[in-house]
Amino acid sequence: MGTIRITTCSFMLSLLLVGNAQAAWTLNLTPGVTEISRSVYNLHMTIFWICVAIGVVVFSIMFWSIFHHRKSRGAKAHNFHEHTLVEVIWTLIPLGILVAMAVPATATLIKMYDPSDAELDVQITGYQWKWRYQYLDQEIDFFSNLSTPREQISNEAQKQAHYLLEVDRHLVLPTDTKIRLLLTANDVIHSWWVPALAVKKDAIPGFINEAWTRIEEPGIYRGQCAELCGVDHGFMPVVVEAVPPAEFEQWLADARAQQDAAAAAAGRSWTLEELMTEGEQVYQRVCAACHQPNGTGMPPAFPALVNSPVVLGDVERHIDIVLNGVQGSAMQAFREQLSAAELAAVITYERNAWGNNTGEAVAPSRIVQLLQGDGQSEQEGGQ
Amino acid sequence: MKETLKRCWQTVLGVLAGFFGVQSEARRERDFREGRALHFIAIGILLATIFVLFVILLVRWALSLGGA
Amino acid sequence: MSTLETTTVTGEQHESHHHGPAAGIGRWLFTTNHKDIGSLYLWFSLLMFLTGGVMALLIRAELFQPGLQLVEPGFFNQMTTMHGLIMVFGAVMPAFVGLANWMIPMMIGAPDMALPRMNNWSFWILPFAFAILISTLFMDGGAPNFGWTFYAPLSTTYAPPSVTYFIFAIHIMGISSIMGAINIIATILNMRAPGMTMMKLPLFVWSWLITAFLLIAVMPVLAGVVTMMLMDIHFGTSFFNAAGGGDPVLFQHVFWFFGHPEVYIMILPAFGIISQIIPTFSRKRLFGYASMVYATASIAILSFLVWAHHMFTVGMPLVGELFFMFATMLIAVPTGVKVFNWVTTMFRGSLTFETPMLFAIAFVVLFTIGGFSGLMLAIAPVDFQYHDTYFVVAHFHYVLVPGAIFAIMAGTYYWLPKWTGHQLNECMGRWHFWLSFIGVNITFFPMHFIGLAGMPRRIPDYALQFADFNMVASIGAFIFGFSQLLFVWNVIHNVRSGEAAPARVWEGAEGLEWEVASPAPYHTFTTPPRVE
Repeated sequence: MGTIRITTCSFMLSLLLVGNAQAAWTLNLTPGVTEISRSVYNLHMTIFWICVAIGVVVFSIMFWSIFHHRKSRGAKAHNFHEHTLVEVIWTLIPLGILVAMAVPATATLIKMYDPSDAELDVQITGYQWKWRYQYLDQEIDFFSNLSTPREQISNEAQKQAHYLLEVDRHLVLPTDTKIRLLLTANDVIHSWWVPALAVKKDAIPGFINEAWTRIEEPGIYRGQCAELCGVDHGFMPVVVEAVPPAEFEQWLADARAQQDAAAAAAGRSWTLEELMTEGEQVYQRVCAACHQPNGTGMPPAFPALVNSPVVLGDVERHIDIVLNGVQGSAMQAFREQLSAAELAAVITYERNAWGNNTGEAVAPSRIVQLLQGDGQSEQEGGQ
Repeated sequence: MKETLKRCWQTVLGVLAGFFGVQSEARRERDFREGRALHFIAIGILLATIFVLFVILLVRWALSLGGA
Repeated sequence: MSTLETTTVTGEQHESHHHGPAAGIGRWLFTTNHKDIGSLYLWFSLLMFLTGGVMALLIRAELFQPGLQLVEPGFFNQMTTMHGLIMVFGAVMPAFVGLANWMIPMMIGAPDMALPRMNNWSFWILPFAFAILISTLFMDGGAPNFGWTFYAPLSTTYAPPSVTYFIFAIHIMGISSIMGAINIIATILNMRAPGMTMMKLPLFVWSWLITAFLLIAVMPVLAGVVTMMLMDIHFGTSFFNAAGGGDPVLFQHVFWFFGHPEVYIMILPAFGIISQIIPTFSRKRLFGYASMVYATASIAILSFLVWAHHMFTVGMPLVGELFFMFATMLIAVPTGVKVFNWVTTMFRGSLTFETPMLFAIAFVVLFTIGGFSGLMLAIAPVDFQYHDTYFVVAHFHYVLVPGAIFAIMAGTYYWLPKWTGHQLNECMGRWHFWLSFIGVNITFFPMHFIGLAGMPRRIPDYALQFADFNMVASIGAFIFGFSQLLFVWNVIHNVRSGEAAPARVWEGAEGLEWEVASPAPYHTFTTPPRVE
C-alpha cells in the first residue's frame, strides 16, 4: 500500500517536474539497488510529501490572506491575538508527525548499523586523490584513479558519457553477498559515496569506519568523494562494478594473476625506451595532477620537476622521495601505490623528459632491492 | 513554604513552556512579574539536563525495540 | 535626567553633549554614537556582501559548464572558502549588529549603547580582521582552501601557510562579536526607559538578547578550536592529528558545537525583524507575542544539543546518531510555532505590500522551504544520501539568502526612512525585490535537484548529467548578483534625496523608534521617555 502510494507520488512528481522522461538528467534521489537504498528512498519520499502537504496548508492560508485581506480591498484588521489552545494544537500536530517519521527512520538506521555476518571484507582507503581497495582475505590490493583524460577536463576534447565518473580499475563486488566495507584514509578526511548503494561514510585518517552493502543487481554504479579533501577533491570518483558471484570468482583469479605478472615484470631487464613509454603513462596517471603534465608543477605546494635539483641530482635521493614521500608536505609515499616496474619507469621518465636529459635509467630490480631491503635497514636503525 | 513551592512550580512551568515554545500572555506576564531570572536559569539548566537524559533514554528504548 | 545633571556641572560638558557629529573622517574613526557605529557596521557589511558576492559569481561562472574554464581547482577552493567566511562573518553578522546598534537604543528608549567606547572598538577591529583574511589571497600558496568549515587535518597538516593569518583573523572577528554581544546585553538589561519592562520589549530586541547570549556562549568555542589548530600547526601538539594520538573528528565536534548555535545567531535576529515588519503592514498585533519569545528561547536551548547532525557520516555510534536525529527533529516544532504565528498575524489583517513587507513575505515562504529541507536533512539515514551534496547547499542558502539576507534587506528598507528622513522609492524597491526573488529561486531551487541527483558540493567540475541545472543556477546567480546593485543604488539614492518622511513612517508601525523625528536626531532620548 505504502509502496504503491509512493510510486504513484513519485510518478506524479516526475510528470510535474521532468516532463521529458528521456532527459539525461534526473531530479530525484535514486531508489538504488539494495534493500537499504530502497528504504532510504521511501523515507525520503515520505518526508518530502509530508513537507509538501504542510507547505500547501500554510502557504494557502497565507496567500488567502494576501489576496482577501488586503487593505486595497477594504479589509479591516480584526484585532484578535493569542489563543493558547490553537497554539498548543499547532505545536502538537507537528510533534505527532515528527514522532511518526522518527519510527521508520530509526528502524532503517538500525539496519544500516548492523554489519554482522558479512561474507566479504573490503578495506577502502582514501588518498589524495584516489581510492585504494584491499580485499582483505583475497590478498588483492589496487588503486583506483580517475581515468578521464586531461584534455576532456580542459575542454580540448569531446567529453564522454561518464566524464569524471570513470576510473582505471573498478571496485568489483559480487551481487547477493553481504559485503563489509572498512573505511579509512591515508592523509585527510575523504568520504566514500555511491548513491545507488545508499552508502556514504567518511574515511578518516587513523580511524576505521564500518559500512555494509548487499547489491541485488549486477551493474556499474558510480559515485564520488563527498568530503572536501584538497585540490582534486572533484576528481576522485568511485566506480563499483557488481557481478554475479561466479563471475566474481573469475575476476579474483584474473586479478591475482595480474598482480603476479606485475611482480614478475620487475625481475626482467628493461630498455630506456620501454621505461620511458611506461613511465609517461604512469606519470600522467599518478603525478600529473600536482606536478602538471609538462612537469612545471604549481609552486610552492607542488614544485616543478623541470630543472629540479632533486630530479637532476643524486638518483638515490630522487628514488627515496618517490618511494617514501616528504614528511609534512603533499608529496606522498608511492612505494605501496605503484609496482616496482612502475616506480622505476616513472623515475626514469622524470629524469629524461622535458629537457631533463640525464640519460640515466633506473632498473626495476634496483627498486625491488630497495623495497625488500628497507625492512632490514629499519631493523638495523632500531638496534 | 507553600508559597515557595507554588512559585517554584510556576517557574518550572514557565521553563517548560519555553522548551515547548508556546506560552499565554497572562502566564508570561506572571513569569516576568514574579519570577527571578536566576531561578529561571537554574531550573532551565536542570530541565535541559533532564531533557538530554530523556532523549538518551528514548534512544536506548528505541534500540532495545529495534533489537540492536 | 542625567542630561540635566551634566549640564549644570560645566559648560564644556554641556557642549559635548549637544554637539552634532564631528566633522571629517574623525567623526567615523572616534565616534561613540550608536547611530554612527550602526551605519559603519551596515556599510561594512554591504561592502563584504558585495565582495563575497563577486566570489560567488566566480564560482557560478566556473560551474556554468562542465570542464575547467575560468579558474584552477585550487583557486576554486579558495573562492568557496572565502565566500563562506566573508558572507558569514563579514556580511550577515555585522549587518545584524549594525541594525542592533541603530535600533535597540531607539526601541528601548535609551540614549546610546551601554558601552559606547567598546562599541567603537568592536567595530573598528573588524576591517583589520577582514583585511588580513583577504590579504591571504595574495600570499604564497594562496588563501585558505579548506572550506569555511575548515576540517582538520586538511586545515592543519595539509593547509597552505596562510592558515595562520586566517586563525588570527578569526580571533579578531570573535573578539569583535563578543564585545558587540556584551554591549547589547548590557544595553538591554540596564538602559531601558522607565516603564519599558522586559515583557514590553519589541521582538527584535528580544531576539537579539537571546542571540547575544548565544554569541557569548559559542564564540569562545570557535576561538578555542582555531587555537588548537594553531597549536597543531606551529607548536607540535596533536589535537587533530591521528598519527600523534589525536582525533580529526574531535575538530568537527568542537567546530559544530560552535557552528550550530552560529546558524541560529544568523537567523534569530532575522526572526525579530520579520516579527516587527509583518504586524506593521498587517495593521494588527503579532498573534502570539509570548509564544514568539518562548519559541526563540526554545530554539536557543535546542541549538546546543544538535551539533552532530552536521556529522552523521563520520561514523558515530548508533546511540549518538539517534540522539542527534531526535533532538534535531524537535527543532522543527518551535520553528513551526514562529511560522504559524506570522501567518496568523497576516490572517484577517489589513495588508499592504510596501517593499519591506514584500521581503518579509518572501522570507516567510522561502525560509519555510529551507526549513522543510532542514527537516529532511534531520532524518539521519536519508542524510547519508544528502550529506555534502548540493541538496545541503540549496538548504542552507535558502535559510541564509532569502532567510537572513532578505530579513536584513527588509529591515533596511523598513528603517531606512527613519535613518535618512527620506521616504523610500517604492518603484525601485519593488524592482529590487522582484529581481532578487526571482534570481534567488532560479539560483538555489535547481540545486535541490542536482544534489538529489548526486552532485557533491565544493567541486569545480562535474559530470555531464548535472550540466543543465548548473547552467540554470549560474544564470540565476548572475540575475540575483547584479540586482543587488539596485539595492546599493536604492540606499545611496535614499540617503541623498527623497520625499521627507514623517516620524511614523509606516501607517501601522508601533514602537518608540517611530516617536522620534525622521531622520532620527544625532542624540535621541537624552531624556528617557515614559512607557505607559
